[in-house]
Amino acid sequence: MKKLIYILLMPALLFSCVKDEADIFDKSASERMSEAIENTMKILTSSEYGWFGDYYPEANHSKGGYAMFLKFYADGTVDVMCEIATNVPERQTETSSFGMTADQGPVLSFNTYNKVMHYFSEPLSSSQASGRAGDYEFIIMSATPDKVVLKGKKRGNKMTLRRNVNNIDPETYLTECTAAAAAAAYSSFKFVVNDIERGEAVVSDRTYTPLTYHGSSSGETTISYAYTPDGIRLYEPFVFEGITMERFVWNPANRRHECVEPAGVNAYFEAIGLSYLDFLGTYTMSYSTSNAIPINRNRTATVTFEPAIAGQTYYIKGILTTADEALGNIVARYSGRYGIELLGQIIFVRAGTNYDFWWLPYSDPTDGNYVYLSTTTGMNASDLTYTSGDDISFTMIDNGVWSRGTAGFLLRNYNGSTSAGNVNGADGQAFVFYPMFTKQ
Amino acid sequence: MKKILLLLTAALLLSVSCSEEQFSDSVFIDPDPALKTAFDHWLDRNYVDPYNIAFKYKTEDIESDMSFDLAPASTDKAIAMAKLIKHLWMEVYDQTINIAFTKRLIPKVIHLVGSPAYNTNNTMVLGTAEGGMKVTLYNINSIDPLTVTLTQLTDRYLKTMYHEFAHIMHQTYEYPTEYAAISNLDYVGNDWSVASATEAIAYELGFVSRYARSEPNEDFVEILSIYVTRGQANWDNILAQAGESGSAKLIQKLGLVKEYCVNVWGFELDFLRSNFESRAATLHTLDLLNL
Ligand SMILES: [Zn+2]
Repeated sequence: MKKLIYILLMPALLFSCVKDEADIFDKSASERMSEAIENTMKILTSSEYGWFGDYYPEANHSKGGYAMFLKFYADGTVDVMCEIATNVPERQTETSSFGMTADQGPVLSFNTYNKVMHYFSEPLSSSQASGRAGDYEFIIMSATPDKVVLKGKKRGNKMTLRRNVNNIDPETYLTECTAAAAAAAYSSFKFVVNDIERGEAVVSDRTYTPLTYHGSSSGETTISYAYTPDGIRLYEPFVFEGITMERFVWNPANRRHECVEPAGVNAYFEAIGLSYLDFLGTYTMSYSTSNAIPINRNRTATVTFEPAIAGQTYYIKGILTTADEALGNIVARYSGRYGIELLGQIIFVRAGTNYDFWWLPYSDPTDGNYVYLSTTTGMNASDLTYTSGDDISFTMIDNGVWSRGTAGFLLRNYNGSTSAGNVNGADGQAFVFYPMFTKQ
Repeated sequence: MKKILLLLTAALLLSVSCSEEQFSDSVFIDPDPALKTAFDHWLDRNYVDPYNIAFKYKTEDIESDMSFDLAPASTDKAIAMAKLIKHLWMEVYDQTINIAFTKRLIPKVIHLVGSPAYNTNNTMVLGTAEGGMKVTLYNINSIDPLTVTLTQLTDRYLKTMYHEFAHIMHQTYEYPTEYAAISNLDYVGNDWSVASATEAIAYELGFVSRYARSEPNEDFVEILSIYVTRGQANWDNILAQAGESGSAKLIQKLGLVKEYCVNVWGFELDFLRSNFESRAATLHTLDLLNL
């Protein structure tokens, strides 16, 4: 019996203890909280033409940011648009609900599913349980009629909402951001301060990773940014030897992102090498049909690099048969480090058969012949030569991801077992080894 | 003794909700009643007023496990689920006993999450329950209101919900001790999930599932929930696989569960099951797209 009473008392104590604490402590704090929430709510819904903000997913904003448009309504719904394709095409408006909760400070939560917002945070699979590692709950850091600063609750990335005071059409704004990304899609940049070259930045997604600098100081850093209609805005101000830089405008004539914010700073990033747009066009692809060494490149095909995702990827057309090309395309990536990357990929799923049609990495002959169902294994451009965007030439070499080495690719239908695929006009053979591209 | 048990339950329930408060120093702000949507009003009429259930379809991350990354439910899927749950869960008890019974025992919070909660071992969490107070249902966004099937709903949610409800029943009034004696030597605690403890072995030992081997309470609610939600053919199939001694134990257990339902709560388990089945047969008459 004693035990029973003891058990009964424990919870009672627990309960009263929490209650007391609440009584003494919470009153003014909860009042202040309610006020803060009401105030933020009022500000968010007060912007007739909505807000623009840069959304940064991933821990340490490591892939850069994406321009978004948000419009909050008093009935608790919110419109969200993003510059890039998410679970819906780019710039499509998705409406869901939002709410404010209290948790140390006021928290803005996108609390029903939004195909744009939650694209960045939803889990994708057991092995990608954090998805794209974005936030959809934001601590309100500050809120004024012109600017609301949010901070992601899990990843801690900031998002600054800027009031759309001038009634800019959000679709136009976001289209211009995409155009700005395509125009400035170069793989590396010179970093120049007060007319002196101080370093070099290599582009990776929407970051300079790394920016290497030298001179009176030297070292390496990473800068994340998002595109604006006329250039880029950095995730946070970059301070270089006492000079602060935050926003840059693209100058197409000399291919520079020039610092405009704060005003009066003489600093810019000037593109080196070839841009995304430079690689577009028609090429002669010379290749071997076997991985044998020495390389003979006994065949040629005419292929074109056509835009897929502007500023980022290309469709390589002319390798697949016309019938297959109607179903899907081989995608190559414009890369900060190499110019062009070509990786293993599923081109499409063959209807009615459930066969994945693969552009399948194939080994060099050193240890025998192997294929690897991998989408990170593949080849990078090497020996890139050009005098302008019109006479580009490069050879694809192993990217080092697969220990056997990638010598080329095999077109193959695969669903546990395999069936043959075909290279266009190549008499039923399905191999492309050691490809070399020369612009026509 | 009965009174003390009841008191105990009440105190424990309080302590659960109270310690929850303590751990998350968070408060929820009630939405301005003027801002309630048509769905919110529907929930007031169909969940709050009759059952006192909070149907939380707007994900409150601080309410769910912070170790998972989750996405909220989309409102149209939440509407479909609200109708399905009412039709295939609450109203089944209403019809079998009465609405007061349902209201008294049903968990007070149903919480929807749009995405699955992925575990690292290639499994995903589809539903969880916390101490009879709250049921969380995951992966709601993958439900297609136009093609949803009973099997889908049972496998993902309903079996678990009937399982939890049965826990609340026996936590409120104990079942007779002779139940636990039937398989006294075969309960294995957490080892129910080791690879060697197969479903087939469980049947042969007189359990309705592997999980039922963990302890008598789980055994009891597994019998009840599987018998009700998975149908006679499935039950017969388990008996057939269980062999002579296994099926004898299963039949004895089911008998005690049925007796308990009649003696303690005044209803026939078979009536509960036939109500579940007849309501399930009308699943596609529900308008899951509109309120
Ligand atoms: Zn259980």
